[in-house]
Amino acid sequence: LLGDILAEKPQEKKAINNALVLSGLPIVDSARIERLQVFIRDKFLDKHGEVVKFSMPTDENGNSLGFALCCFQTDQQALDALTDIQGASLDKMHTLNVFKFSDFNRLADADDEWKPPEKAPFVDRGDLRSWLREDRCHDQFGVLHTAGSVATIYWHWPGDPQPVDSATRNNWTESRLHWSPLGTYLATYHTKGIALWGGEKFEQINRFQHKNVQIIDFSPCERYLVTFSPSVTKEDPHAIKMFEVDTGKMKRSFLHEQAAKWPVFKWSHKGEFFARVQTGKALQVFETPSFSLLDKKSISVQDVQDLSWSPTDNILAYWIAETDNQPARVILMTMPEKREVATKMLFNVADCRMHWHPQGNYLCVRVNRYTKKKLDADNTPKYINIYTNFEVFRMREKNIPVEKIEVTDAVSCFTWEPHGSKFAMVQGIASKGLSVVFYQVNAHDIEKVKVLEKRNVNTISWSPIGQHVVLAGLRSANGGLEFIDTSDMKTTANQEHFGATDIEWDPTGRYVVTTVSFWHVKVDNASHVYSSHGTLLYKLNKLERICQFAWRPRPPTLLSDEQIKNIKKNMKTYSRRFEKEDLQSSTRASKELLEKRARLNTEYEKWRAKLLEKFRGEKQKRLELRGVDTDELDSNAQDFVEETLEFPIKVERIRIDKLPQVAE
Amino acid sequence: FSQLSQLNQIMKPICLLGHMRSITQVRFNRDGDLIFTCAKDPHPSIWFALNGERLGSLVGHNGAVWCVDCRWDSEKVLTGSADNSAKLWDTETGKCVLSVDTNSAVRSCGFDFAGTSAMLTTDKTMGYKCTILLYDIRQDPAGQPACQMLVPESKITSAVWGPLSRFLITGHENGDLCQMDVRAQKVIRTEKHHKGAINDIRMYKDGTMFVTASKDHTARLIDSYELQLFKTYKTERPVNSADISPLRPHVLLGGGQEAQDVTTSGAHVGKFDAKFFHTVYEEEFARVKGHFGPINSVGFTPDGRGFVTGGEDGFVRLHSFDNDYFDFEFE
Repeated sequence: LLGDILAEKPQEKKAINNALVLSGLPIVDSARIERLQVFIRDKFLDKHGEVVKFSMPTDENGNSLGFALCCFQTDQQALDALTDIQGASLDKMHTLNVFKFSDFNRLADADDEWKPPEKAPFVDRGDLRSWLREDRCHDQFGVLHTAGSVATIYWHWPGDPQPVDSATRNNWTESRLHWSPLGTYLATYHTKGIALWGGEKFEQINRFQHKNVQIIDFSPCERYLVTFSPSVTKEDPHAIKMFEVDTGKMKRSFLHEQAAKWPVFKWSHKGEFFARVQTGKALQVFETPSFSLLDKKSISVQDVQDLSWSPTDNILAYWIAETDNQPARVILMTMPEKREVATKMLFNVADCRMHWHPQGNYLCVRVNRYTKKKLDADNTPKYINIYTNFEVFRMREKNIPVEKIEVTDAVSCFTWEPHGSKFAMVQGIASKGLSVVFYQVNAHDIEKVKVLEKRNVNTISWSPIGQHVVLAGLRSANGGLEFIDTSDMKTTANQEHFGATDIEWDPTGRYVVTTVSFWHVKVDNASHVYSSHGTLLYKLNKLERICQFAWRPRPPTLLSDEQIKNIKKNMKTYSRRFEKEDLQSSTRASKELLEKRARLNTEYEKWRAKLLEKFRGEKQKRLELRGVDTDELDSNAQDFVEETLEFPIKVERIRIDKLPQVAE
Repeated sequence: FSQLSQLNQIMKPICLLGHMRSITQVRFNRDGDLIFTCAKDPHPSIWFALNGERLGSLVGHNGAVWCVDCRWDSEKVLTGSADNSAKLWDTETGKCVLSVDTNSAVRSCGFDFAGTSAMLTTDKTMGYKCTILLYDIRQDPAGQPACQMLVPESKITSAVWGPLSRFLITGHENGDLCQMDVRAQKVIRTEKHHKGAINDIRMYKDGTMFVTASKDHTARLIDSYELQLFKTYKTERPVNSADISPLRPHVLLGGGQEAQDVTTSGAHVGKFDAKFFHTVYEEEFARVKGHFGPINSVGFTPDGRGFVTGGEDGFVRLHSFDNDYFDFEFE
């Protein structure tokens, strides 16, 4: 058809988008130009795809001019190469400067006169942390309800949460609510991208364009926002974009090639670095605010599988899969120095997963090991008899010693105790009965402190301040909740929230909220609020079709450890003051409640009085219709007939011949 | 929420086991000594409220019995059934004295204030529109209604007589509430307070106000004269039935779940509760468990000293309140 034929016509645009200009190359003479070309292609280009055309122009003497042109088979390959080799160094004096050929015209046409950029007007965002200075230090939480069409932010006044002024909005978000890690911003999803809200009145702070954004991630410092959208087009093939929160500017975008878990880019604790793994090939560590590769190159690591940052230090942990002649390894490396601080060889490894302690004190690597390995028809390895090892790296000790724990049962839900030194996991398989096992990392060993058997648990939720934990059976597991104080491993309460789909501790560790989300179950959508010891405090069930309940996070405390110790020492004096305040506020609350109820009663009586007036007015009519007064149950008492009914209460059978004989 | 614990005292209910299928309605007579139950099986039953002993059952229908009503003098019983008929019975003997055939299933029925007329509403099925029929029962109508009225749009799901039986108050599938003057063939008033079908309407003892139970998870208190909404009671599940206590400022709600959600919630043992709300404060203060399925019909005893619930599980449970209930006050 004509249309098809026209579509095949070579388009000028097409040719340009797959071409790159490489400049910054050394100038060499005709004798070495051949070698230079081969070197460039080998080291930088061939690994990104098929180079369809390559040309290194020369002057009249045959010397290179310092740049080259190359064309890849597809636009994607060209972009891939651009991302990778831009800024790479060839030697001490030469650094590659790569740009798209399509940009060439744009750059060539740039104005010769430099015009200073326009000054953006100052927007006073107000105090973005105003919520932290609330009188009684109450937290806020956000609820997405009415099947997702209304979102409301509440002050958590225990027992009587109050919506924040002007923070109940229809269609505030199109999919879910997302708080930034320190609680400063509320992110909402829209077809066009993400919007951030904050400040006392939740005004819009900034907007970030990313069509059909599906999932986001913040850097821990909240300076950067990473968004992912599966909708990529020829003009905009980058599925992952990174924005600077303050300015709203997009700093960098990336293609997303392989299937991976989100977040693809993992952040260091201060947001100075972010990194991703190119499975099997390399680690890419980028630095901010330049958003370019650290030292302008990837860290080539054969067979690397996954990486993970320490939550408190600039230490990157990664593991390498085992190959035919090399065992698997876990390596810990500091950034930006790239110095290896710990390595562990592991044998017979099928898979590894890394779990950092929230305060960075330990790293636990869960290693799935096998006793036998077979190769399938297509050379994929098949592992027989898998058992699990946990390698615990003691990060705060000299030379980072590693200790091993072995578990033969199937394992799931591994979690560390925040601010503590315990960890817990679920062991066993559902059909034989699951157990929850607690371990304690001591100075010289790792001790199994408690095994709780026959627990239908699929989630272990620790309080963010440690010590308390909830063992929950969410979703299909009937909503059982066991509250445990791990200082003495005693169960403080057993509760049930049937059908609960989510559980979340508040940022201070005082409350636990379980929710039955409308997204999973269509009935009984409600959130239940419990104390840290498991007492049910109140239920949030007046809102219809609750989809999501999310506590607003808090930034870390500004108090030093010393100050915290002092406060704990003087707890008694503080308690007295707070108890007095609590008493005052509860009497105030009950006074308010009493007043409200008195008001409701008066209104109701007024309404009833009007109706009773009508009722009395119709009395004559009623008498006519029935012939007797039936207004009250005893209105016609004179007509009552008294009747006595007898009901046997007990029937007993006695045989007469068994009666004692009477003397005659 | 401390009030919750106070009222979950052990109130041993009497269980009336007379029906093989789900209960559709439970009613008391005006004096409160008889209980009338009907279900999806063809035989409604009459029981003594004193001890739960069965007086007898009414034999004659061929299909599920959707509604039952007892005349103010307790002498006659009216039933409406899915077998396209409504029957008038003698309470004492259980004999059927009158039977009228309709074009489709009879969904609601009721005696008027004087007890001389009966109203029926029929379902919209098989080409027949939803209809309200009035019969004069002093004479054998030979199957002819004294008057009838077609309901064009949303079908009637529940209906009761208004004060002095001047008009009917009807609840519809789309949540509409209407006052219908059947004799004058006109709709006096329509209000839309509910977002879902109105499953039940129960009059307060003096007829000046009533409570509606709706699929939209709420029950509402409304005045009979102007259909003005006064109170709303919110729950997490569709409300099938509600009643107002004649003695205390309490409202009783019974409900369940959408039919399609039955399998997902599972047979959660004994977890379907009857919920008690404070009439004025709109706050729930107690729940009574016991049914193994959704509750389809509830009712306070006419003296307010107990209540009865009928469920999807076929059980009818008759409760008597402990002394605590009568002293119980909100702080």
